[in-house]
Amino acid sequence: MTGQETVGGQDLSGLRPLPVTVCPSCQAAYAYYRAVCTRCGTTTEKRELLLAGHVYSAATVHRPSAGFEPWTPYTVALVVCDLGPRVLAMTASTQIDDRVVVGLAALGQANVPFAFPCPPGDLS
Amino acid sequence: MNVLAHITGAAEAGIAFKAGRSAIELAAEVAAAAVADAGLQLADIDGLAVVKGADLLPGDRPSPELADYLGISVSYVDNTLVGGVSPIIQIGHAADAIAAGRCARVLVVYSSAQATNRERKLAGHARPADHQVTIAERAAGLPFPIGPNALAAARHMWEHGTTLEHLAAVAVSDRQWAQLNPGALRRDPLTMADALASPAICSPLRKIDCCMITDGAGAVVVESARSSSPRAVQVRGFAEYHKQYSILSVEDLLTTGAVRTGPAALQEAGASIADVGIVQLYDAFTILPIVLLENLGFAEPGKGGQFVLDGNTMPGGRLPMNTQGGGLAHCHPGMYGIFLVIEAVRQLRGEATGRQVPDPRVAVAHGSGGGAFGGSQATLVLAAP
Repeated sequence: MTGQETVGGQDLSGLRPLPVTVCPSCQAAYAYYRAVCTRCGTTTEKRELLLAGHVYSAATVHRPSAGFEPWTPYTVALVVCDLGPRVLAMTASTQIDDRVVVGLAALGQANVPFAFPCPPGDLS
Repeated sequence: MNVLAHITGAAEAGIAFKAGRSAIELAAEVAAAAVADAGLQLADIDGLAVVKGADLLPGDRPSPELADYLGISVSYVDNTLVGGVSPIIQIGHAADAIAAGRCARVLVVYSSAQATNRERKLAGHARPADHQVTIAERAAGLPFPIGPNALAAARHMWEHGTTLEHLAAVAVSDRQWAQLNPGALRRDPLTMADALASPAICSPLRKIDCCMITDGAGAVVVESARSSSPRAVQVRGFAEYHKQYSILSVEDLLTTGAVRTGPAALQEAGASIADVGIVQLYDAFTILPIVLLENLGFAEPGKGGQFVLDGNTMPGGRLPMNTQGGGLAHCHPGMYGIFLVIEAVRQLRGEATGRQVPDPRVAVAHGSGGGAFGGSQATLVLAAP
């Protein structure tokens, strides 16, 4: 990843893979752990992936959730990933319909899902 | 003429920013009032529906606890909990149970002391810290329940050109009705300019786009289709639909289960959209009734905001909506579903003093719940006595 975005002055370019659930049979992916694939009934596996997708919607938070006060206001995008799952990710400059890649970024003490503009040709 | 059941009694109690009383006290008071409104005694009740919840009835077995507190024995209980729509679903289930002969007179009670208890904040109901759906949903700092509603509003604006003014029009419409209702909690005037100056909470939603956090209780009595009371409101149609629980499972934020429950309930009622004189649509946030007006077929897809801004839902409009002030201005004790029905009953009986719509024959009360935006939906079609 070559993203240069910052939030609250912090460099978030070092995206790490996001924990997801994947079906080893039909390759369906889920944003939170499900023991059984809803599509084919196969027992799933846990994986870590960077997820490419597009922004479905985004909201800017002015009254933060606990722990997110230092970053306020911040924008959270609902991202529809190409593999299927929808994830909520902080974002700094993306808008609805933008292509993004989502991974975990270190934000303060926490690892937060973060959506960067998708580099051309990368992860498509 | 299909009549599933009748609503013979309806009452509210303890509606206040802080009533200073416990949920079970308010439940007992509202139960007694609803039963009296039905011309019954508590001992006549043989079915009980009540929602369980941390800021509602405190125990983990609310039906036997409340039955005991009221001194009644019952042959039917229902603790359906799918969010704010729950009491509407309990009314639908009660109609079925009565038709099946399981019971004859069901008391549906909702009561919450959330404001007094200070258990409800902007972050919504507490969930266990290890709840995996919650962990995934909240990892990026989206606040609940406002966050999913803000995402729906932003998507509606992007897809359909809906504006902040359209959203604000819902708050203005509700407030105009609340000013006609002495029982409403927010009655001070709200102009469009006031609404647009409201501070951002979770953009595009601002403070005036959000329901209140109040105490309050509501109850109705459901009896059989054979009731002949001149004040008995007919339950003519009912449908429920449950899709996703999590915002992470929503395919399309702007198409809720209301697209199924609305037509299904109207068909069961033998009614069409044109027959509907008033609507009571869940308004936890201003975007919700805009989407519901579209999904239920009262407004063209994408035009729900303009429908409200044009004055259709306001006093004197052709489809009066949330005629007691809604969750934005009347009250919102955590789950608003029962209050949608109570106001529909009052309007259909001609008892909505000060805000009575001229002779509405059919009302739609539609509730929304689930875990995020638009998950669990139910439509109740009621007709005048």
